[in-house]
Amino acid sequence: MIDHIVSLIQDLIGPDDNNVVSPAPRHFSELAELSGITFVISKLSDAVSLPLRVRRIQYEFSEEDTKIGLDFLIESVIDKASQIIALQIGEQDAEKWARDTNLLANRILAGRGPLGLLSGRGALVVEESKEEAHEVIQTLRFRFHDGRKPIATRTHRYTDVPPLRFDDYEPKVPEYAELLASIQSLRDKSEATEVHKFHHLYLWSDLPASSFQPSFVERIVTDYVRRYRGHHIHTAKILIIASSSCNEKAGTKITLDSSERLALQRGFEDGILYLAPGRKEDIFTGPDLELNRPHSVLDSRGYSQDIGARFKQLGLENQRITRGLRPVVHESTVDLIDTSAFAILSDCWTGTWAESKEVDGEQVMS
Amino acid sequence: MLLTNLLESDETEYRFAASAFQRLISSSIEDNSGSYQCINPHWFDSELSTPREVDSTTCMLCGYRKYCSLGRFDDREYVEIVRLDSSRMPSKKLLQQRCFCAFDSNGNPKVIDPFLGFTRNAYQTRKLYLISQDEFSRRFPDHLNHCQFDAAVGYDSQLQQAIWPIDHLFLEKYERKRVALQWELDCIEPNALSSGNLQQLDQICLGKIAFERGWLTPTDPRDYHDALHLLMSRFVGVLKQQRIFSDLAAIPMVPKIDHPFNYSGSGLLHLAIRWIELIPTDLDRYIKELGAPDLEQENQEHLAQRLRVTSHPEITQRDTRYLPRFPMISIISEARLSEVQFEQAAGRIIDVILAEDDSNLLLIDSLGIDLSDGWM
Repeated sequence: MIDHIVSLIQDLIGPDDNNVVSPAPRHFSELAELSGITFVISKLSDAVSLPLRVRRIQYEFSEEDTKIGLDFLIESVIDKASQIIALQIGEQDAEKWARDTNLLANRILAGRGPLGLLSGRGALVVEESKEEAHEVIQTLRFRFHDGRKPIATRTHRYTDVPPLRFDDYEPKVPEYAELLASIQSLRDKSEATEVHKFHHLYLWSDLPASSFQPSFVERIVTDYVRRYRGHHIHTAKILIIASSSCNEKAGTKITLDSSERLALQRGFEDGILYLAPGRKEDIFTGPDLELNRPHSVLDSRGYSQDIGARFKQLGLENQRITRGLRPVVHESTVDLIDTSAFAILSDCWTGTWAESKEVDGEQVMS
Repeated sequence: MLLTNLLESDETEYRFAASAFQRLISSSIEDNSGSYQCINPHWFDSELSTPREVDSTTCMLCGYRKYCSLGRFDDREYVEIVRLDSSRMPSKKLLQQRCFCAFDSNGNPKVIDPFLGFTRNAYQTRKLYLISQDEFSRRFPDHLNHCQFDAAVGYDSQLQQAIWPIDHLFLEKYERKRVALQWELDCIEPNALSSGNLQQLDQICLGKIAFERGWLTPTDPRDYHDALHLLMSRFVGVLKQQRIFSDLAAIPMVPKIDHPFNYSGSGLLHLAIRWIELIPTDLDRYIKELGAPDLEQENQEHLAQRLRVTSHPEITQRDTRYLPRFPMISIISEARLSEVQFEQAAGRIIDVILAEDDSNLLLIDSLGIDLSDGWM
């Protein structure tokens, strides 16, 4: 199954700056050396070491020079802004603002990389554009202690080549000149700093890929790559693809082993439950239910009971990943097969603190 | 003499002292075990042609120790594993081959520090601690938040509860505004606010949290619901008067990431709830100073008993009340894998190593805290 998923993702993302790898356990170095966007497909039991893997990728070959350069430029921006703020609210409060902003900047860096400082939610700087007559007027707003305020503007005509990055901005008042210059330097450096992203997918299935409806597996993988993979530097998901009834003769794995079941603890609730009923289900054999597809899939007693029983057999029923599941029905009938199946796609906690108020978790308290 | 040697600041004096020390202990090297002939005898003021017996202690003082293959002085960083209970130490082979080992890009095994990225002291000489899971759970239990601890950042050893990011920020600010907050609590006039004034969204959120925490039960009279609403409104009111907390409350909070609850309410409500849970003495203070009419006072006191988080005096004497959540490695037999809990109130399991014998152990990086000093 892993090879099949690797191949499907490779087809979806193309070769440019992207990697799809399936490493052996504890082969962290080869991951840390990869650049661009990497999909790391592993067997479910490897998720027990997820925090270890993520931190080793982050720290094994930390680009100290790049980090030092960025840190210096971020500090410079905060320092210049702090000097301006100090004139308004005093040095003590300005220092406090600087400390808080530094924390915010580190958080953004950890979660979204350096360009996250210059655009998006919580950014230090945002760029706004408005159109007037034949011109585009752009404004840079900086996040001061009392909200975002315009610090510089630039104008270009539609017919001109738009200026790059933050070039050609003029400070609104001379006092903002140094702050603007430091922001421009940070913008240039941020662009030059590569942000490598890793999407970890931990996979379990009870049958080989060829035993499932092909469009069903493709649908899940396409959804994962195009819609649900996430935007942070490290994202992780668990994917379970299983038949709704266990046929030992056909080689179906009856249940998860102890390490696989343990690995499920890494998964969060509120995932997606994909449903793919086979052609022998009453959804296709009963005229009423067939007429009401796809809604009738959720009303099919036989299929629902089979899935419930299979959940129990797999030891999923009390796991966090089965809480708050959102059902999605797979509708394709072109390649319908006998085997009914379902899949669960669930987020995992990578411990990188992208969403949190803290930066490095445990270390903040130490 | 060794001390004299180590204290010498001048190179020549150091060398002189080292030579004297070497001469002194060379007489005590009686048999050949552990001793060998020095290949740099001139450093000890000896002729090259004169064989000189040295041992690893002498080599520690030699200027060539880092460059001499015979010196056998191991200058590498190392970890010392300290047992905190009577658990049996896993074999060195298991630790070296499974716990401290990974593979390089060519597939060759290499030694790693598994706590890299979790501690600033990774790859540096330090102590790691080994303890059974049972003993760790006994020492660092969770007495409050029976929930997922994924995003918790610390542990309050006095109240035996996990600390979330918003708690951390609150406690920082609380320390600066403690007096002002307590003064405001003392000044609460029962008549000034005689019924709760939380917004509808907050009332719903509070109700859900109250049932989850056991502050309210389905059989409680309506008075108790109103009393909780009133109590929380007063705490919210106190926080609202301090800009520092209003600002903190304005930050978006992600449920179960920034605070332990799965429900969204206003920032002030979440801060007020966590304030009561993190500083229960302020709840006592509020009750003591309230001076409300009998029925209201009785209801508030009754409710406060349910809200009050119990502190554990046996550990209050320790210097460090707030601990970081420790990164830990589980060393466990396959048969006991179902006992593993990745996210615990005071620690997070970052890796699992299968052991041959029947065990359920935790290898802890204490992030600079000496766990053998009174913690266990």
